[in-house]
Amino acid sequence: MADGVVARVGLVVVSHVAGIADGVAELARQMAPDVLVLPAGGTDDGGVGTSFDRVLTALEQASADASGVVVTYDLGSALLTTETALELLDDDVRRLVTVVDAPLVEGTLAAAVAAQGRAGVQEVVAAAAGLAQGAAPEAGDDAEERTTLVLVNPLGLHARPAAAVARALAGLDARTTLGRPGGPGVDARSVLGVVGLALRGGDEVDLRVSGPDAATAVRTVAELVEQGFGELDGPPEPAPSPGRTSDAASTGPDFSGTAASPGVAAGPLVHLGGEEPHVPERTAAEIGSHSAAEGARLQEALRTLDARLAASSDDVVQAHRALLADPALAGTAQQLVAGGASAASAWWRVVGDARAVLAGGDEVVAGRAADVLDVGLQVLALLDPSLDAALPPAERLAGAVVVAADLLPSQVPQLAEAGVAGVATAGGARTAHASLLARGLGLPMVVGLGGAVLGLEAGVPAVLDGTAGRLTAPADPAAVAEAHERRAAAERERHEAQAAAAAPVVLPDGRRVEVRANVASVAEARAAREAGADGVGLLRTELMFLDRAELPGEEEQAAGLAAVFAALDGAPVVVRTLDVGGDKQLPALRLDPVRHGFLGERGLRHGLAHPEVLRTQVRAVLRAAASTASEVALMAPMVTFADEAQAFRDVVERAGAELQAEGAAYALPSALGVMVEVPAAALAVDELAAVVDFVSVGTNDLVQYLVAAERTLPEVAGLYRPDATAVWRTLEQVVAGARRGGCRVAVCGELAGDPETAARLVALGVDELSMAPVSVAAVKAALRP
Amino acid sequence: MSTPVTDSLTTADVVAAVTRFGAVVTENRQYLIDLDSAIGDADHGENMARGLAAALEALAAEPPASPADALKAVATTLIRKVGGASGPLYGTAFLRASTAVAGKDQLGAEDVVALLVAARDGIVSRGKAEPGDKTMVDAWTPAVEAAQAALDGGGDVSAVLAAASAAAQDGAAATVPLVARKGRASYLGERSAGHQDPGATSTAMLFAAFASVAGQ
Repeated sequence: MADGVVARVGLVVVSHVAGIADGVAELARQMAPDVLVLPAGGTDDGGVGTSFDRVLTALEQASADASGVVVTYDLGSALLTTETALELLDDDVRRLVTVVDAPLVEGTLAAAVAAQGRAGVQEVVAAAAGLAQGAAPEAGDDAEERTTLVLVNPLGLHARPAAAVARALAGLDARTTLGRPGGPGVDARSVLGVVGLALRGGDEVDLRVSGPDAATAVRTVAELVEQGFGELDGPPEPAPSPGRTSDAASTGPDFSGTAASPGVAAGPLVHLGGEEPHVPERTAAEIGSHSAAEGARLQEALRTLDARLAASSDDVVQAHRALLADPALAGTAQQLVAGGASAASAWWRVVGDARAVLAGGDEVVAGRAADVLDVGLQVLALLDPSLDAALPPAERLAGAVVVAADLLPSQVPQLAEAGVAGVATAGGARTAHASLLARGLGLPMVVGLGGAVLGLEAGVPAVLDGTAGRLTAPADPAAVAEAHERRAAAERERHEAQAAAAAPVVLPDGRRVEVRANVASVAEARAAREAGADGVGLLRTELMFLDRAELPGEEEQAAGLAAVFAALDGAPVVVRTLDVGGDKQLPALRLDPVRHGFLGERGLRHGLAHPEVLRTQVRAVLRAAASTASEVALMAPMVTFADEAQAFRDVVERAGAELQAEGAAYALPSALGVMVEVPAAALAVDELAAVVDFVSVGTNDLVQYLVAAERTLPEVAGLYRPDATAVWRTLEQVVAGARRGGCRVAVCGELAGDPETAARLVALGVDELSMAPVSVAAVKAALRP
Repeated sequence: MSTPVTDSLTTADVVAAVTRFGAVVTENRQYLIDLDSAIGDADHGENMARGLAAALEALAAEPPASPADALKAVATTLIRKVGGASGPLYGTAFLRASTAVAGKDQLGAEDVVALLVAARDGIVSRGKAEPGDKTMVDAWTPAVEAAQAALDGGGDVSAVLAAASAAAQDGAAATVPLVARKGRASYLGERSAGHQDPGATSTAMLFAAFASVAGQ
């Protein structure tokens, strides 16, 4: 099945009045011409009420022609009729149908637009239901929970943490505000509002929550804050530099600024047109439209961009998605549209207002103005393609040193792809997203050079030193030659190191040992390739589920996986299904620390007990596997007995059969495996081997279960000894069992990443080791004869 | 040939009870319409009278072979013919009742209680209403509890249904002061207080019809 066409999701509109159902369906079809929208309104004789037969017929017809059916309804008794009809339908029809509680007109339109874009059922439902959540919170008289937290990460509530807060709160029924102690609070779901507070590390922040989910919201936000939004152990971003270099400081040919991304570049100087589009203030009537159509157009543009960005697991892009959902932008723009403005002029006005507010903040806040402009321009381009701020043609960019007033984050990858040698900006900050992206892409960049660089003559030779923070233009031929040489030398070194690490490990007896990496994101997948890993031995899929109140749908999961696969250049990958429970507690699954603790319903146990969660993920993996040249294997965590492995195999085979029946593009896994973490599994690997193609030993959990000591508890952490006799005797048993059963053995825990231990594992007969990307080169070197 | 059982409902009894229910609803059509026009959309009496008439036609056209058959025919007709909430709710009740007594020729007191429990559970799961929400659940819940108590006390079919009927009447009357929390009446908020709920009222009529047939 190379590229089967997936049928779209169909809609059924159930109303008490035939005219309402017909009208809403007609409206939806205008916006989504390829979506099947069937009305079921009024009684059989045309009266007020709902007709069981009409609903039943519509459900049967829609489910025959669509990949899923989403039902919207007007009043409670329409829901009763629909549910009664569902009860009487066949299981395989009923399985396709989801009834969504949403405002009839807006919910149906949002669902139709999502379905037109080939969204899956869950996304269509979310699109419709999202409107219900967007409604103004009721002025509740329920109790308010208050707490004061201290920000522990150095940069405090900048855009990525603010986006993480907004994501974590999505789906929770809780009105949440953040503010300075004693000051007014802002809506915690508004990234702009939160960033505008300009709260930094060490500052106190007041959290106030009311509503049914208040307790969960307080806990979720408090955890994020206490963990420093995950910015405590990564490479910390340096504190913001005190200010930008003043315009008068340098007149050339040497300009100094702030080093934002290391490396040397030389090439002709090219200016990036910094002019912003002129968006005339127009009313809907002036452009021959009307408010409802303009509102729908704006919503569609926001959704389209959101769907486009959803594929990326990049934090910066995710922060942009949070901006799209920010009530301060979309909500205010919709109000202006309702007041008569055209979609483009309303959007551009709120973008301008937000930028003006942010520009008044400190450097970190001001840096977010570029993000707002970036998102603003992308939406604007969708609303009116003639306003697209295009880059210069690629042939002028290749090999050039680009000079701009400031850079939009979305422009950085485009510049890198066009082959730009380096980037220099008059403004900007080292902490801005554009700089972050440039570092990630290895694109040399200097920021804060001052306005004088904007006046430089285009086409003159330029040399950029991203390590020293300098731009020389015009540069003399000797300087250009030296820069080219330094750049070439650096490239060579990198290639050599990479090539050396990338070579396979072959033992003297001819046996090949796979040294692979454990990854969880696109960035880590890239790092794994650059580190010379032979592939990915463990792709953790929990990242996509973290910090959010609702599960991602099949489409979103498939897109996220495909992005990771794409970064692997065809190298093989082992995807692990959701490993929750134990110390991994995901808000979206509402887990309990005891029932889902280390001895509870975790890993595959959870998946088999919640078949919809597992099925959705497996379908996403199979669909993503169709889009890559990589061999995609699939494995389940926390397996104890062979019958669980068999149940897992059944789920995978059923998902394949379903996708085949739906005509979807999919590929079955190249191999199926299970993790061996439970001693009972380790001592009976031969039984597992009868069901699966490989086993992968998760040494962290296996050691913990063997010594009966939780490694995160300081009181017993001393008992957690990976070198214990029992651990190695068990590993011997695993290898022996796998040999008897004829299946491959991998080790993907921390043990594998230690060069000495890795050699010992290989001597034992392990076929594959998988570890953090950073350990790959050292382990390969240790294993080579 | 089975020996005649006096303490049981036959297929003919079930048909007779539904016939009686239809007649009572038709007689009280205007009363139910008045109740519903105070707090709803004034269609309950009309819808139920029409739906039950269609159900009786269906029973006449194809005489049922068992109590379960009779209940199922009523269920499907009500579901198909009665628009608005009462169709799916009463339809579900009759459908679950039919399933609960599938395969039985005659219904003893235990069967009747099982049937009522299944019907009540069906209504609750379909409508998601609880006692006190000012819906038909306010008549169904005490009726089922009274029926169970009567059975536990050694009562026969007629005693079980008589107890249920009396409790349903009381339950319906007790909806007068309540503020509606489900259905279209809930849009009226406080203004829904002071009126008897039409669904609870027709439920009392249903129990009265079954009790009168069993008591004959």
